[in-house]
Amino acid sequence: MLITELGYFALLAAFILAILQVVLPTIGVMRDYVAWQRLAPSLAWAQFAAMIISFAALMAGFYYNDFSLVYVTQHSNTLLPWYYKLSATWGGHEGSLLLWMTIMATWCALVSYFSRGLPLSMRARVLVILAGVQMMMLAMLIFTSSPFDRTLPNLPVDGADLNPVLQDFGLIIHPPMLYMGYVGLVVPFAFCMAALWEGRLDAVWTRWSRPWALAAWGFLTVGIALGSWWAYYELGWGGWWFWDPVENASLMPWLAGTALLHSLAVTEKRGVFKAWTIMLAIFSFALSLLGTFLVRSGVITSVHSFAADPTRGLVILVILGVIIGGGLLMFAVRGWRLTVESQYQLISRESFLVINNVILLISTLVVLLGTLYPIIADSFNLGQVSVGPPYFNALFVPLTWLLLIAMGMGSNIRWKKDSRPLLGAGMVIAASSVVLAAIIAYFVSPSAMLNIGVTLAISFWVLLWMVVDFRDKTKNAPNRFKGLRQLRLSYWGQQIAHIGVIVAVIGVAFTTTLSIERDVALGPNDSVHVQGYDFVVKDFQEVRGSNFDATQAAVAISKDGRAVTTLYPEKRNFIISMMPMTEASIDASLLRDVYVALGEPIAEDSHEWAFRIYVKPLIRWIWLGALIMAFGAALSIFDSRYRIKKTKTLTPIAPKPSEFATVTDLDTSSAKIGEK
Amino acid sequence: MSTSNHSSNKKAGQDKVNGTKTMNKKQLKLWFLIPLIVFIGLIAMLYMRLGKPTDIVTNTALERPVPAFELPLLSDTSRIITNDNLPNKPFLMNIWGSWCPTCIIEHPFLMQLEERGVNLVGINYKDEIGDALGYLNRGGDPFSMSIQDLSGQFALDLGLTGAPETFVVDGEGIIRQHIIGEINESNWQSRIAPCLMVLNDANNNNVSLDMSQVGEVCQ
Repeated sequence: MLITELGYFALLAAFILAILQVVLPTIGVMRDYVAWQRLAPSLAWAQFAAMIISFAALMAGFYYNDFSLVYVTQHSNTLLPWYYKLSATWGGHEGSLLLWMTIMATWCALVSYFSRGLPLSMRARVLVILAGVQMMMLAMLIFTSSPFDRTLPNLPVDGADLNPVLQDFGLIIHPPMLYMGYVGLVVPFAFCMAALWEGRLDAVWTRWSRPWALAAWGFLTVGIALGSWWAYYELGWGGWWFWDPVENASLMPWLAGTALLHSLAVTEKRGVFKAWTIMLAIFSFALSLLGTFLVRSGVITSVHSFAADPTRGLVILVILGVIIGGGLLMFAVRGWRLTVESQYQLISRESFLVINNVILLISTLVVLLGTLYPIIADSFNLGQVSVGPPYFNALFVPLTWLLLIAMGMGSNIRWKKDSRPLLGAGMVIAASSVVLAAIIAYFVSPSAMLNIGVTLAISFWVLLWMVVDFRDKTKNAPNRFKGLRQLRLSYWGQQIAHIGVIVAVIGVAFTTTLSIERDVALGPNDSVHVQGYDFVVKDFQEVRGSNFDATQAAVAISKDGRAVTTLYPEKRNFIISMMPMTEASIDASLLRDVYVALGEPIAEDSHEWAFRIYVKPLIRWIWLGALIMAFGAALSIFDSRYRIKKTKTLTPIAPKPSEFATVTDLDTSSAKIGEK
Repeated sequence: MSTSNHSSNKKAGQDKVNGTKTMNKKQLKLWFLIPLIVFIGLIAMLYMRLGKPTDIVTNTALERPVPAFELPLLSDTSRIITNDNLPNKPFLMNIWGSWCPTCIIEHPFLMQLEERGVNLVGINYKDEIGDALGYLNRGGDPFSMSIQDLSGQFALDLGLTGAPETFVVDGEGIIRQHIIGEINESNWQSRIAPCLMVLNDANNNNVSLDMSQVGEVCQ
């Protein structure tokens, strides 16, 4: 089909544009050709257009069943509903890489749009670095795994099936969201690199990169939550997190990204930890590349990784080496010149953010070690242990508790030095949260008080400190309502994101401790009683979807004689791939989920089927918490302080002492280290 | 703008980096090199892993007897199977679960192996018995027997990293090969079949294994 050929040409064009976007502005920067530097944004836009055309063409290939493409043949067929045909575009290796790069081009275009107010030399450098990453990824796509390879001359009549696990609404939105986050971490990385390259000693660039880090982090949060939600209802085993390498690959950049967000805040406000922040930016992006590497190379076998290919792994390794190695080289050559611009005392927000960073970094390393252990053990000829959920849980739960304890206190403490008598308030808050938590835990579940009790106590600790902080921040306002309205958006964002963390943590604690799981064999009109709910199997029906046959059970659920709902779990058999799939049916609510999955007939010709029934309290809170976190990040992005003003001369020249380096005093304060 | 740059001499100011602590410049530079060095080490390690066949990594259970176990038979859980019930000829031990997507992909190939006369013993790993039996009813049962490992303890003893995995066991009950991930025509031809052939030859002719040969073809 002609349109897919167009897609291939657009891909090649994007590659050439990316090369130009690297080369021309670089020459412009080195020779001080302003016009050449100005090319960078235009090239970014052109590259964006080319990538969109390419991606749309591949999508069209799927929509119109273009089986002359190997990739389409392998991941789609004529029976697939149209929306899964479209989402199958990113259902395999080649397409998901194309999506990665299309999203990369989107970030490039966004950066070039929102950075109009930046000094040209900085803007050009950022775009050069972005294009450099894109160039290497495009080279890999085109030369090792092009989605536009042809099956000609043996054109198949119909394609294979899209993996049934992936035929789901979750797959339509989960990868794009996750990739927005993964790839988005390249922007703070590019800003750091550009700052080092230009020889900036100040911390202005942290203010420019903060909204980007927030945006990437928000997308990553939503993406991970969607993935967890999808695994929960689609895989039919009721779990929401498995510590699988693929999941860990998304969690690691998230943890490092969280550390980066907090470190950026300190660097921007106080001018300290500059080198540390740059390290974190490099580290976060390295982890998101490593994530791509782990999932795609087959270095570690995972439940999720269907196709693994060592040659592609090698290419990704080279890319990782060049990008991150280059970043670290730049850091080694230039980073030591960075200055420290202020001092702080032990009791200060800076100290607490150090604690935050240390804990988050340890968590990241815990996950990294657990994921890479098979490789490390192999390299040093140590034996091998299976690193599984017990390892992660044993380390992660206490780390999370510690992090939350620091979070409650830390967001109250003032910058530089806090000499208020906080010890008394802290004692009162600690005592009251323990009492509150004990009471609630006792009523919820006297048998599992400890786990829930500790989590609740820590949550109250954070929330009560938050109340204290709101009172403190609004005490000078004429009334509380006015005071609240005067608070900055970024402050609201911070508090809301922290509430999101609490919500998610409570959800995790309750779900893991109090979930009920029952496996029973049930025939028509059989019933079972689980956790106060009565489950009655009404009947079994054969149903037919466009590409599968299924057996569907109707299960009526009631509580204390009152009907709650009827669930229809299915066992699907996909016609082309012959794969069976469990389609669980869930009655969701904020306080609990009732989850019924249909297994297999107990024996041949038996009218009894295996059922798996779960009652999971507060499981929705996990994903709700993630959404709240992302909402907090979104609020912060829209804080007016991040808007770059183009008119430099009109703004007053006297910056507040705490904001030593704003856009306004760029020209005077940015010392260049390159020229000596 | 910074505490370190009071000095009127710009050069001197730059040498006095890192606030009031005047750290030796050379020493400071070294600190900033550390991340790069660590990273290069990591990349080298990943690279060495790439050169190797990616489907064989573990070696805990290798060259050792199958760990002792007492587990129920899947098709009749009242019967308990121990090491004594394992075949006394070389066989493949495949760890599977009905919940595991890659196992489903691998399954047709296992059926083919059974037709070719390969003796397969299944370890049903952390599975629901109903799901597991239904899975075998639907896709066919390639295993001479399947053992139910509900808790996953046996698989842990074997050094399992995830399902599916396959162990090649010789006639003496000693594990000779460990394949992580699915087995398919390509790794069957290149790795598993040669190993199995050596083990079978030794077993049929009642001679002890040539260990250097085993080391060569099985690992």
